[in-house]
Amino acid sequence: MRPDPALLSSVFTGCMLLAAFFAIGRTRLTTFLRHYAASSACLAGVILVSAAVSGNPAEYAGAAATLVLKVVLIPLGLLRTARKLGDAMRLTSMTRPVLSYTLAAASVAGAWLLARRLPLSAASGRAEGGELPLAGLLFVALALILLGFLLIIIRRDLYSQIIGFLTLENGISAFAVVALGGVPFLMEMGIFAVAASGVVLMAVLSGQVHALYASHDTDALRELTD
Amino acid sequence: MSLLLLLLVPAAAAVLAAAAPDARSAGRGAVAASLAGAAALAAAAWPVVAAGERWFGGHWMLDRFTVTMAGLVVMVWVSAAAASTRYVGAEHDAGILPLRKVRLYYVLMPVFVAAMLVTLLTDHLGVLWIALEVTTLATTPLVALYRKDGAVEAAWKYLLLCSVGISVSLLGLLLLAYAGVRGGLPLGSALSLSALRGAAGSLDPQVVRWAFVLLFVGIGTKVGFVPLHPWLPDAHSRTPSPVSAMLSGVLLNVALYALLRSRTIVDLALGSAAWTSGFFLAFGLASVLFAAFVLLHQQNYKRMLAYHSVEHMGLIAFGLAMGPAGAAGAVMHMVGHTLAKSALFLSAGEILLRVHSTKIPNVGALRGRMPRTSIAFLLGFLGLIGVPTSAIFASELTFLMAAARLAPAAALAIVLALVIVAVGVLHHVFEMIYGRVDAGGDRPGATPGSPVREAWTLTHVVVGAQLALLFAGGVFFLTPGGYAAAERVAAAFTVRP
Repeated sequence: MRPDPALLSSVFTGCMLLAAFFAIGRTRLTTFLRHYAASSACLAGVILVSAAVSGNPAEYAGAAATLVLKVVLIPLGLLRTARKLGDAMRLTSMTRPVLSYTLAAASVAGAWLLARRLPLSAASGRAEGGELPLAGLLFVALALILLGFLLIIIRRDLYSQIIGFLTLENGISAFAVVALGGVPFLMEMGIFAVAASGVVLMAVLSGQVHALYASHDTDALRELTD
Repeated sequence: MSLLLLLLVPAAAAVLAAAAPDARSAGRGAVAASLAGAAALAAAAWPVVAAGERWFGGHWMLDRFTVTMAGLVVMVWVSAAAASTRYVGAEHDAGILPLRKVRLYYVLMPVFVAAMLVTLLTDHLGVLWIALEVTTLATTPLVALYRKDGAVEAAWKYLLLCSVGISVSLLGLLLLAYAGVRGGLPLGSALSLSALRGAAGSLDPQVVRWAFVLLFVGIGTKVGFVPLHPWLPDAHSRTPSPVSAMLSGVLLNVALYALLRSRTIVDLALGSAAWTSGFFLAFGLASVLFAAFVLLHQQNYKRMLAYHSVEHMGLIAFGLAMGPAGAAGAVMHMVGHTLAKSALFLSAGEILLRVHSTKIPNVGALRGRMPRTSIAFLLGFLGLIGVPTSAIFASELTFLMAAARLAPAAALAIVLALVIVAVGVLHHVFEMIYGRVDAGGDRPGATPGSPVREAWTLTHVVVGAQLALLFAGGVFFLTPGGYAAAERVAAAFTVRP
């Protein structure tokens, strides 16, 4: 039996949001990275289903690159960096878990309101858009973007901020699927290359922060103020 | 062909710098590469300037606005490369920058320039976005180069905030392309700036408005509009001075250019520039007023220059909100700001090499210790605050006259802020040049045996040329021919009602 693409896409979309949402309260680096990897794997699934529907080879490549980069390489790389530096595996948040989850819920609610207002869900840019539940994906894409922002704001350690940025990036990838059914192949690869270089640079910088301040806490970074 | 050459030159320069045997030859190579780049740009741009035409070739686009901005990029490239031979050379000799870092410096500089040129020349939204992000990636290691005194902190803020900003702008670009697809363009064309511009009439105004908001917030972070600016003073003040000159002098303009290219499409789709002008007016005013008050009590001269960039980007945004005449003023201001700011950052580098501190109270009596640099520094600041005949005087006169009719209250606020800035800045600069310094003259840690009298350096030559252009530029812009030239450049991105 051929699985229903709409159902599959919905499941992936929902799981992507759940994984990102519950990452908010996690304070062990390994668990936190696992949540990110799970959310990214679901994103790869969404892109794969979209590729199967549209037959666009760029989307297959996008799904493969998402799997390799965001599910395997980036989480493992960050974990290795942290282990090498001997950083504590406990992450620090400015807010207690209950408040973190409340803020996350507010972000998700905000994304839902925003998704209804964006003049995008009515008709997708692609012809076969009707086959996929794009309204839901738009909502989840916006939710991931807001959750990414939230992580960057409430977390005080560099790893969480990197993951916050990457969560935001995942939201944008999902948004690209909604808006254009994926972008052309070369552009897709360019965006991946740029994002990957950015994360490598962030990891290098967090190594330098560690060497200078013997901590990965952003509280150490308070020298430059006016 | 010459366009390809323009991009191949920086690539070759980066490869050669990686293999440079010593700091001197790396520096000389960088100067040679920048001069070759200038020649390639002249060859590529000449037909456009001569015929006043717009040129498309595949994914590339060249018009008067592009040529003006690319000219500024290459001018600052040549200046910064020349000043780097002196600045990086001195830091290398003093043991501050090992050869490994000198190589990294000279590899990243042309990569950074190439990314800016691609941002300016490309007609493809995706390429534009990638190139703009590469400008951040290439300069982050330069901001972190010294690895001390907050340099790593500055680099972290810079990378994180600008990457997040640029990501938000990607949402805007995707929405713009989506509007194109819905307006009937195939996906390939919906990612082309010129195709979107051609089809602007068929774009859904609602989608286009959302796209602009996201683009404005995203790219505005990179331009440094208040309140999206917190990374800017840190990054611009912590990096080696020639890089500060490039970051402040041209990168901000390049980011603004990217924003203006998309604004034109939005304005055409909406039928007038009134809606987008509101954003430029609000963020412009906020940036100018905020920077004016920070500048009053700033105690670090490199940060002072960086906050000036926030102020001047605000002024340019204000000009861009004031109709076609304001846009012509904004073009003059971009030119003037690039000249003044790069001259000032290069002079600040000379001061830093001598005084070994960026704190204003640690600097004094520059008039006697560094007569040449102090004159350049003073002239640069006079130009920056808009003393006649600086190009910035011409630009401020132009857009304030337009603003007096269109938004008199805002114009008054800007004039007040300009007065506050002038008072604050002159106070600090006079303190640095004529103020007293503790016995001994140079700070502890000054290079032993540095001559009492200041010697001529290549930096002085470069700065002198920039200042001459700055003050001649004002005269040029105030002539009918000069004004018309600025108007023609502005016409590339202005939508008349």
